[in-house]
Amino acid sequence: MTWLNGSVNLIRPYCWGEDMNKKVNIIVSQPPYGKEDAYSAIPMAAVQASVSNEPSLIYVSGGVHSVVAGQKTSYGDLAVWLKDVPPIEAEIKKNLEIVKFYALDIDLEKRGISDEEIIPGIAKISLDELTDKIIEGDVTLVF
Amino acid sequence: MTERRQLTLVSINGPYRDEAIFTMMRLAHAAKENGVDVNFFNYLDSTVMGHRDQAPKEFPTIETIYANIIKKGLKNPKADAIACIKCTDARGVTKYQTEGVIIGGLYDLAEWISESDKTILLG
Repeated sequence: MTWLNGSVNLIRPYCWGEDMNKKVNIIVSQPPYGKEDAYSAIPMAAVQASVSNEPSLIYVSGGVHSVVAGQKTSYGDLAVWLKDVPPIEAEIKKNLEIVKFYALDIDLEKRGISDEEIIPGIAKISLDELTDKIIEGDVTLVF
Repeated sequence: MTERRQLTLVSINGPYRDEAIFTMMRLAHAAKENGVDVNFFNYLDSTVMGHRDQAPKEFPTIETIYANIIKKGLKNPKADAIACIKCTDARGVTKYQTEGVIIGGLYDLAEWISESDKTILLG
């Protein structure tokens, strides 16, 4: 379907308040780019919406570096490298309407990431709230 | 007849470098012995574990163990295995998966998560 901002999304979006199947929490503790984990967790969360699950993606530990706005990825000359690494920021923005993104507040603080640096649309979450989310959730997967 | 319980095991790490995959195999085997249906979803590097012709010198061959668990589960309780196509294509292992592994995608995982009693990620 085409969103109001013109972006096209092939995954069926869910409507807030719709009868959800399962609450799926995906926790990412790995920092972006060094490993594939941080990138690949996003499509895994996004497809949950296709079967009416309610996906949440929570960045903790070094994983909070994924939520910093203004990421630029490049290996260098495209004639040599052919492709650039996909920026995680773009993947997050693409899925903001179907996945709820969170970042753990104490881990952001620990790494000196201020509120202004966070990609708009990503909510901060406290450890207590995260605990509640895990208990309320049906499935929690940790990257 | 009551419906059997279902366990989905998602893995992301390759074999041999760490023990996670072996632990997962022991867990899967134990689950099947206890009458639980097992679904394997191989994501990222773990798609390599189904690759044919592995010959580690000092460790048990993960492909053989994996194939045995899948084959032993053709009847009840059953074991299904899906490898993510994007991940197998990236690693060049799509055509060389052991018997019983189906090449699928993340949508299959979403359905499994919906259907299963429990889903865990190891690795």
